[in-house]
Amino acid sequence: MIAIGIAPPSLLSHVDPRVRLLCALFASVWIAATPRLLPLAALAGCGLLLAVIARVPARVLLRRLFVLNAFMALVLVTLPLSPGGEVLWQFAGVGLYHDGLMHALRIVLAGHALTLLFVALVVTLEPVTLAHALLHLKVPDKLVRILMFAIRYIDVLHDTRLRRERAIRARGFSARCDRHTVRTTAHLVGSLVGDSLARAQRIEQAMRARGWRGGFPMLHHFHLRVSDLAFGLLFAACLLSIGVIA
Amino acid sequence: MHISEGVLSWPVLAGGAAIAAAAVGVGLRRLPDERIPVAGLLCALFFVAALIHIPVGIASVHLVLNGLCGVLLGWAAFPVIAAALTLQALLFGFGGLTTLGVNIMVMGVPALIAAAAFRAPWPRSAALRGAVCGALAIVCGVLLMALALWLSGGAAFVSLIGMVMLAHLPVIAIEAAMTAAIVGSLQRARPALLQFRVSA
Repeated sequence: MIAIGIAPPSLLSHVDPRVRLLCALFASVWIAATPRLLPLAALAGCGLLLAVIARVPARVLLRRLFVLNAFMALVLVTLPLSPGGEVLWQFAGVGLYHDGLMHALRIVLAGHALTLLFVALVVTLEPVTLAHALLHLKVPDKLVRILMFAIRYIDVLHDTRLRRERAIRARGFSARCDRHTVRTTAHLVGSLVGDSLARAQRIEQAMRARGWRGGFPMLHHFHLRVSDLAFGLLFAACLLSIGVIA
Repeated sequence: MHISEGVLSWPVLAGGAAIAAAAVGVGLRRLPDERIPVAGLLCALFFVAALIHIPVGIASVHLVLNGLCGVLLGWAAFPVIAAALTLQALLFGFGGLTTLGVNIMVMGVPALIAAAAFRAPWPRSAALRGAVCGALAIVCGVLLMALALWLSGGAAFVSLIGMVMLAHLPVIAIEAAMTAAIVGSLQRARPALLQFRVSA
């Protein structure tokens, strides 16, 4: 089972989802446009603090950071070694360069700040709430409907896939890097494609039978309260003051 | 096929987001209302397919299938890829908010190219055309990724770009073989699906 909306109730779950999305968006733009290291480090700290306030489970947070750092390792290995600026250290024809190191540090800090803030503010939202918040923020409703159908049926298709994999393994299949594996996996994916299209047809017929005319009603209506505005303003003030002080 | 958060410069991110928004808009306009369940289910399918791994040596490669996505969806591949990437960012932390636009382009443009290649009259066999689509989609995606990195960092990113390209060589081979086999399997079992177009 694939789970979304991972966090238990916390202080942050009282904040209007629209405000949280806008805060995440604002912070992302801010981070992407900041070249200096100190503000980025401060913001990564803010992100960690928010993740703790949002009570993101440590397991989830660590897995995210692991995924991020798998790529960051590549950046840290390649960038400081590419020539540019002052040479910091040299050995056997390989040099460590100032510009490259600074660039790599900037990338690592920005990546962590962005990931931590995204996890704390957006990932903790319940998926249907997120979809409705996106609708309220004028994201095209067709796109949100695709997203909602996908959220609803990922588990169904994933279960089908696991069931079929169990069946082929029970017949003695084990994945290797060969023709047979490719052919078997292709049959699996092909049957899933057929399955999902047939299911889509049945869903549509069932929905039409219930009077569907190609749109979902909006169930969640959010009301902006003083506390939401306060959170947004506090967040913006934090960003600005970090930008000014650091 | 993701560029991580924090790597690209803001003009590249902003440009990618703007072009991706336009492309998703075109895709949505060409997607009739009654095909939205199909698009949603295929989005879930490509999400699940990306969890399937094929062992290569000591490591393994997961399926991307953006070529197949283009073949089945046409322009509607853009909104479907946008939704799938959003879910991957939410669930697994692959990519994120700032890189969403660039990542949509990195996967979506090759999907469209693959769709056009699949309609070409040559080669005659559907499986061979599938192989061309699968390989082409990854090659174009990696080239777009390299372009985004180059525009952000210039010469400093050269060795990073080299490593990214190297890491995708097995992906090209696996995608070509898998797309060929999937298209071949669909051609035999349900030939109507390959003629079926989700978007106008």
